[in-house]
Amino acid sequence: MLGLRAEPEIRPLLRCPGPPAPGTLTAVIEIEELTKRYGRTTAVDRLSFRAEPGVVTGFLGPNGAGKSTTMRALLGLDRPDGGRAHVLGGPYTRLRHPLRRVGALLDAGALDPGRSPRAHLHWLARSNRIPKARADRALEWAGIAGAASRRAGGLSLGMRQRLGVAAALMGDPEVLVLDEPVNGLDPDGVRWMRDLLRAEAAEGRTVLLSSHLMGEVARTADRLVVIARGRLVADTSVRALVEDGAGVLVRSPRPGDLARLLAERGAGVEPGDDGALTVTGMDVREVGEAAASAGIPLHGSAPVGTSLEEAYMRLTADAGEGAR
Amino acid sequence: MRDAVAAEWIKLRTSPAARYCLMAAAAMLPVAVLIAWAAAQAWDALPAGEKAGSISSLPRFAGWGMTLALGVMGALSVSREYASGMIRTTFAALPRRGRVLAAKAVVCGAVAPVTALAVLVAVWWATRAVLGDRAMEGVPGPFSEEWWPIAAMAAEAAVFALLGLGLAALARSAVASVAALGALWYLLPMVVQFLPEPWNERAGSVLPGGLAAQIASPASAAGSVYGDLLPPWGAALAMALWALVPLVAAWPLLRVRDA
Repeated sequence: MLGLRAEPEIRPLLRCPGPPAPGTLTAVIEIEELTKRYGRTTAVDRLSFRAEPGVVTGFLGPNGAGKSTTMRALLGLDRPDGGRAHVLGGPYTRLRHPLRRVGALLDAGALDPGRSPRAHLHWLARSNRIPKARADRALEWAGIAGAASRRAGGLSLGMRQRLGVAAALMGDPEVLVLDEPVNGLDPDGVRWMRDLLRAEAAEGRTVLLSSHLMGEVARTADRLVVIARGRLVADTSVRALVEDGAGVLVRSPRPGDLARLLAERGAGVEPGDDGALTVTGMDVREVGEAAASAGIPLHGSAPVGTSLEEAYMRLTADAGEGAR
Repeated sequence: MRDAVAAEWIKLRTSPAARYCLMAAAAMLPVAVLIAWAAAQAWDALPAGEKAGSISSLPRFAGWGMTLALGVMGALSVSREYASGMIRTTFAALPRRGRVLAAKAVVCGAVAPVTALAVLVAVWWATRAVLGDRAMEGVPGPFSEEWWPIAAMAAEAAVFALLGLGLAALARSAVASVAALGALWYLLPMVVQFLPEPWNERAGSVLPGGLAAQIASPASAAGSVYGDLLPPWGAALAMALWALVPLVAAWPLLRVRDA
């Protein structure tokens, strides 16, 4: 990470001992049976999940699914109607200098439009006893030093996101909570954000990253928590989600025989319109060996993934129907 | 708590809204000087034998204008945070919300009277200099006579700043809190005059804008729309209530409401 990492007084290098060994994971963010209602609308409905150190946890759901509400409850901004949202072993509100433990970016617009980015970081830093020099350094590191004296209200959304990230990181927190941080970023910015979050997790920090776009999260996150209509619909790894919907596309001059054979061996078989079969529950090797043992020639076989986007749409669409 | 106060102090210094309010408060000085100058011109134009007339207390007039400007400053220090969503950033940085409110009260409650004091002393000095030794009624007296009314008006400025702050913390809206403040500052004093006796004077005596004059009246406070029934200690108590009751009422709400 650019300059900020290079200077020990700005960002102490060895605070987190790297990703913990498997099996010793402790949840840093614990959402348990969280429920939040606004009037008659239930925004979050008995949601439970965890986020662990050394991992980027993607928090996915369509607009209005309850992601932001969950994050606000986690930061003690909204009071849950049921359940709890804990960070670092307790409620956020009990942290003494919270910006030095948990860096959060909920809404890049959550600042006084008339104040300059520099002044914004200065008061934030002072409130948590973070040296002023770190705030100035964070401005440079986030690439907004050139605009540091302008009105924050005049900044582009991408610039404000960078300012929000500078605010979240200047306290060198061990937990990062970011709500749709790539909104408004240009391609360079998106990449900067992705590299940043991966590096943070690699150092053993806990990263919770929300988005309504599967494509973006899948490239950054290791684990996925998917919600729809306030409910958990999937808590899985990116890899498992891809494999879950994956199959093998095979072509054979004897598609009928092959379909019967594979179905007998427990695979799901779906004939396509062009004579090809889509096989699920078996990988390419198993399909090939089964065909060889029965003497059925194959003209081609290839793994096919359902795209993550499709898997995500399927998950959230199901939940949508369930709630109606 | 010290961190919260220091952070609020930086916020106030870097807030354009607060700067405009302080500029509006300071603008009472040139306005008062202009009025004094116009009065001096009119006085000098009178024929030698007919020189008689009065001028209303200019420090009192400046103090009256400043209470609104500083009250709005207090109101905006909270309501602007709600309007922009910055309140979430604030409460995420300082989760003990009561301390945030207390820190805002400390900062506004200190900046308002200091500003008012500086402007009032300047108004006192400048208008005396402009009016000179013209034998007009209402010309500010020597400082030994005027310092106590000026101090009371500075306290009134603090009351309005805290009142605006408390109203905004209750209403969370700039429009609602500034409207309520404006009503207490101007509309209500006008309306209570028309209450049946003796309620007009009773109500007029407890309104926030009339309290400084009941603690220490400047040389001429005649023609006030406010009442004059409270003893100085009673007026001081009423000041404390106006300043603190909305803040204390907002405190528990602040803790349970979603930010």
